[in-house]
Amino acid sequence: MKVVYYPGCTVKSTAIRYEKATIGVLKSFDIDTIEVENWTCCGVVYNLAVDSVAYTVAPLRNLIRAQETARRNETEKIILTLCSMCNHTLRQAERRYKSDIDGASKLRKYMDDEPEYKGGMRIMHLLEVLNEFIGIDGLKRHVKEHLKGMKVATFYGCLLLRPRGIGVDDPEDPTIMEDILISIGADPVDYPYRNECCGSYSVVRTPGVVWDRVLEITKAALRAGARAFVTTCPLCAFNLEEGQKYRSRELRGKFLPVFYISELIAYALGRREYIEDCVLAQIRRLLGEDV
Amino acid sequence: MRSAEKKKEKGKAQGKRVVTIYFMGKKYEVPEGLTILKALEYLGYRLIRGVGCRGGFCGACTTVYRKHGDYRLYVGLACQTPVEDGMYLTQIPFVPAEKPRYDLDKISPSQSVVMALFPEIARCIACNTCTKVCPQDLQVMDAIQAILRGDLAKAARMVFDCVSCGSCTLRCPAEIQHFYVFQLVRRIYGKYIAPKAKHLEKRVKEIEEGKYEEELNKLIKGGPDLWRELAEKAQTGEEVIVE
Repeated sequence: MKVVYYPGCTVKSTAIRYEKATIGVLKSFDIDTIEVENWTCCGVVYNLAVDSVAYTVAPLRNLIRAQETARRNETEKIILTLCSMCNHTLRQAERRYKSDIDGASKLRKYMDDEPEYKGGMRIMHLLEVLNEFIGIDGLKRHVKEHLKGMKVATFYGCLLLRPRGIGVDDPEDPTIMEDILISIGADPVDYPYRNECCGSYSVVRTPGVVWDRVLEITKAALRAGARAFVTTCPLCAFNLEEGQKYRSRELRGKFLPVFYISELIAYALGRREYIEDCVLAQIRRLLGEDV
Repeated sequence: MRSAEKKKEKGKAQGKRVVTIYFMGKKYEVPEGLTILKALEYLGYRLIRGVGCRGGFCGACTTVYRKHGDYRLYVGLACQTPVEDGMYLTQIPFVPAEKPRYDLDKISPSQSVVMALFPEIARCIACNTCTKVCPQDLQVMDAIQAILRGDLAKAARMVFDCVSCGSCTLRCPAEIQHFYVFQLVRRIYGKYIAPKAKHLEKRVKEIEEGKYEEELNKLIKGGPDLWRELAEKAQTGEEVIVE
């Protein structure tokens, strides 16, 4: 099958390894990704003010361009997202356009430089695509290198799960990432911070707040016996990595490597070519292989 | 008879249609088919600013206008845009923007350099107003977005035809100074990203090694008579060799 793929700015810059692993994994299950033509920034933070039409322009423009990309390339009407922020913003915009009649007509008049958005594009996060189109059994069948019960701490972050109806799983007790990890042989630990916020964009203005938050998250994950973090959000990954470096004294030098879920899946499928060398070395070290 | 009416009569006498335009609110009639620039000069305006190459390259003659019965604001280069009946227009001779200073030899070809010099580009909300207003029909917003995701090469190629008229910069709700941003990405592209022109390097080396010294000296010594003779020969298409 073919789906439209919306990368987002972070995936194309600091998290390019996430894209590489994801596209590789999907390709090995015959899911082709076609990048949205001329996509723009998603709008980043969805504005909750009901009269703020201007901030819906960017996500709606992406929905329109994805719709046109889907039409030209005859793909499914599915937009694959990797980043939690992008996923959240695009979904909120889609929901708003569908339900808010006044705002929708205003947006339509304003955006007369683009074709009309006809609706019906389904925005799916990577986890949902894995769960729905490949499935737990599908993953299990293709495992070549078992992850030998590697203890990992999942980190969902906040916007991937919230609000209910927009998020990809239950905001208070998500299991989608755990289910996938168990199917490839990892052992996700239970700890209280997995569905909390990582500190998000506060890293730009008040990084100290984020580093303190990451310190608490990491301590809890360590107490639960985790040896690595697994996430699907490039911003969470960035904060988790940087935060541990800035609080390394408080962590007594302990550091949990941060993996994207598609990197671990690529490893389990035996497709090491999709994983960056430094990440591959970290995975192998955790599995007790000689590196 | 007022001069405008005289001119209208003159236009009619020549069998040309006239159109009505409003320049800074004042009504004028000018022959159809003139560019805005020529129409203004036809009306007796002597343009000192807001005019340049007259060939659509320099970007000095930005004109904003509206048309009868159309709410859109249009921008065109006065030297390239023909007058239309019912056009409301004015010249924008200068766009205020701060020219940043940087040493191209000392910067790295990365997105963070552009962001450091122009942090306001992160304020882009993808409204596309810049693209709608560009007289060169560039995908201005898409270029800013390409920079935001770190694709400087794509951005530089998209804005190759920018004439720095500054219309986008005046209209942008995020107050981005597009034409200076684009100048920077084109410079970065030219210096660090685009493939080097091997034939140019070879020719420069030849010049430095003095391959053409002898011929040039002969030319200098030969004076105007020789130059004229060679020029005439060149015009016939013959190969010119300095004896």
